[in-house]
Amino acid sequence: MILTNVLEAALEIAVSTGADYAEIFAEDTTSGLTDLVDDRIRNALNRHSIGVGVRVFSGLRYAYACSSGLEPEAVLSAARKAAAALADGTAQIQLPHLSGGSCENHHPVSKPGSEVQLADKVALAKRAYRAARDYSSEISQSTVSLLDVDRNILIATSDGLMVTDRQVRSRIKINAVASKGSENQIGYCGPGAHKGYEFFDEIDIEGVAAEAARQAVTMLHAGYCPAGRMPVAIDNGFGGVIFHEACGHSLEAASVAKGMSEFSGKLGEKVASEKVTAIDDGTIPGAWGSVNIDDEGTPNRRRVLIENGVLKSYLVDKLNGRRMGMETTASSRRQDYTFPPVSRMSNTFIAPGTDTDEAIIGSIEYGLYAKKLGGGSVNPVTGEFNFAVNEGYIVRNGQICEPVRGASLIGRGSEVIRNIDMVGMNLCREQGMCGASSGSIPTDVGQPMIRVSEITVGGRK
Amino acid sequence: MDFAQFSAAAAAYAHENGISDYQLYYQSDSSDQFSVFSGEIDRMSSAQVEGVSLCCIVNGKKGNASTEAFNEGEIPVLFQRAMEAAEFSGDETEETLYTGGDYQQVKCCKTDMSDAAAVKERLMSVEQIGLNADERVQKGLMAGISNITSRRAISNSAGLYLESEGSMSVFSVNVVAKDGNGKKYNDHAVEAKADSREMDIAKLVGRAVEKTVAQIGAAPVASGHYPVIFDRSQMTAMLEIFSSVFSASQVQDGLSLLAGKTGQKVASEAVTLVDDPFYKDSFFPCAFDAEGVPTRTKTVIESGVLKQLLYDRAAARKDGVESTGNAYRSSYDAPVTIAPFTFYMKPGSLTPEQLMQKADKAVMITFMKGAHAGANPVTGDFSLESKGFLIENGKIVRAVEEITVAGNFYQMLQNITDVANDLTVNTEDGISCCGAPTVLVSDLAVAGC
Repeated sequence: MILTNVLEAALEIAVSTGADYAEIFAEDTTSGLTDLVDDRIRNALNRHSIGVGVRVFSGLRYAYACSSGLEPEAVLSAARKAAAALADGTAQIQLPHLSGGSCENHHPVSKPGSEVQLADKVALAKRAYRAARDYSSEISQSTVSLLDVDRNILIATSDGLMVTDRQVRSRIKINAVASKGSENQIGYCGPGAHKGYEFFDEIDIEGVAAEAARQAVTMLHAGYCPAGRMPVAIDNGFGGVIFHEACGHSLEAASVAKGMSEFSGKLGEKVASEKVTAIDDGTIPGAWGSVNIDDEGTPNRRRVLIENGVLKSYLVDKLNGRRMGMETTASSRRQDYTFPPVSRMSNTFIAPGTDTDEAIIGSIEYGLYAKKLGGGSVNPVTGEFNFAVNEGYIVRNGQICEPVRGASLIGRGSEVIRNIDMVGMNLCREQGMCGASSGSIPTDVGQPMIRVSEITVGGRK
Repeated sequence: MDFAQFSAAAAAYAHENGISDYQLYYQSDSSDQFSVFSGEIDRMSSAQVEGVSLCCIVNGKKGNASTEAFNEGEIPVLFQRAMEAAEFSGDETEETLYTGGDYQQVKCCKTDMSDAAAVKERLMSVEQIGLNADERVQKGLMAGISNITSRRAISNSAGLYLESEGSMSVFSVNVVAKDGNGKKYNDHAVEAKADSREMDIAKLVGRAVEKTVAQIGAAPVASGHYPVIFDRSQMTAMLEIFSSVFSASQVQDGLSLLAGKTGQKVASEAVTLVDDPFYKDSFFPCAFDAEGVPTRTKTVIESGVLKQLLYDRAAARKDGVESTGNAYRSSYDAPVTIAPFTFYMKPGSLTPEQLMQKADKAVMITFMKGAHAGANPVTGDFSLESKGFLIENGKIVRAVEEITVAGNFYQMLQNITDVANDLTVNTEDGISCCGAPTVLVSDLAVAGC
């Protein structure tokens, strides 16, 4: 991607003003978006994103400069800007020669989206559209987005590390709209993987589209969700968004290191109910949130965050690790070269427990069964979080009863993870995009069905 | 190779290969950021990113491809991808290049960054100003400045060439406070200026501290239906979340519920919504939209009646009307959608205090979060994590937290009974394309304890 002598010259410039560490991140990414509405292609976009980011540390402060393009001058210019911004004296460190090459690949790809004909992409999107529309005459519209990314990265550091990786991802997002009179309701499914287009041969596209349509039609005939505090059974799969928001973000070093998390200084303490074991595993083959190496070049790993309720690990990147006196946990990620990386999640899930789904539902006298969940957000300082229920049902006397429309669930992370008092056995992960200071990145959330003994349900009734 | 050289090379390639209709959309963004934590320098960064999107029209059909690689070798690939995309694009077969119109003169806003050192010095003082302002404020204030400049250009094979530029300096301050029981509260203040020297840092810190400590003692309210006051920042947020319901293409595709509603009453009489690309507080005023069509001011809702939707060229062709100049691209590589420029609700005559008195008992919302999942323009439904104050006898009695406010945007427009006189655009703790005064909504659901 960039000649070794250019990288070495750029690192030399980067450390020339007193940096104790320098890193070059180069990226060459092609991506495709095939976006269909009303059975016609609304957008077929092909993007080529290419550029470099240079980061230098001096103790706890850092400077970052990025530029589009990968010509030698773009790389050297970014290095000069980062060094000028740091301006902390003269060169302090000796640079070893760079050595290395492509990293070990755990995510083999047979058909990258960048090599698939547009005609084939269009045909696939149309199949999904047709299946959603055919589900019911109440489905008035469907939108389908096919996304493919072929991301090639190179990381070179003042420690002498030089490593490259190719990250290929594919995803389909299907929205179905059900209408009656002056009302619309929607359903959504969005499976994805760290794989090429072979992923779409592995899943049942028509089945996924029908599932989105089923949600929309069910919600069209549902009443409003109740408002107030009550027990909630949250189903597996995207239900794992509760851990992602209530706890995961607050374990990221970017918040923890500066004391800006309610979990700062809690390592080794019991922070959750002992039913809760939570894992962030960036190594799962082919999983949406997996990467061979993080965006600082560290080989990925499996991180046990909480074990039987006890906080075992944070998610740590190199810079915040300095403030915390901790090594990186290979958690450093970024959307692209325009963002300096920070600690982020990968595939994060609550591990299977010992309760059956029947026992969980059966234990609720009056409450909510949250079957399909949407995204959310959190303020790690206070732990206040929210996430959306897209499809809910009232539970009465241990039985799942009538469906109710979407509502947000809110609470404080440190309180709510103590309220997870039942954990089911059937673990499932689903895919999302996670937004934070280093941009939007692919992550999995997951869990078996769980019970939260009490949480605020933001309904309308 | 810069954009001019790239354009020339693209023209040569198009000529050689018999490609007659194409358009280039160029964007160049540069930014400098500086942030402090606890009175110490934390981060300095700079970014220089440029990209170009090519749109080819083949047999009346349009296809796009984009790149950040400005070199000769990229040009054939870019044309090949855009032309392949055109082959498969929609059912539209009457796409043409836009050849130009009558453009208003706009004053380009240029940020003066000459006193960067002085600005940094002032940011370093934020910690002490915050700690002195209130004893409950915790050490570790964060403050930052971003100077952002964005330039874009459109050039096409029909001879159109347009350029625009805008810039702003955005200041932010983040404050954490702690009450007697050790419970933490967090808020921030953000403000943008065309000239960073005009920024009153002490005032910004003061506002961030005031907003944070005002939350101390907050508790939920009982779940139920309440009259709800959205302060101007949160009514602005509502307009931003739901602005796509006024997009004609969303309406045409059944993704907005405003189909067939033009000329009808869709909101209470207190509501007038205007889209003004030339609004005085806009940092990026622009005489043309993402398709090169001249921009203009338009009233979308007047005294509750839907006057018109927002159009780009394709949606306008479908409805047999003119484009309103609302084609929008969030970035050079993003698809063209439809969006307002500066979209605001016209102010009424009451002061916010008079509006509170009129409400008598209400929940006032001053903060909402989670709109990307908890609100949907296709259905109009929202259920959002919120904070604010309980109003009784027309006065604030205490802070409120851990509540949600839920309803439907279309119904809420009908239920806005009063609009205050405190309209702001673009400056109140969030950089937005929207603006609103404080409003009173007669009935929304609040979930609390």
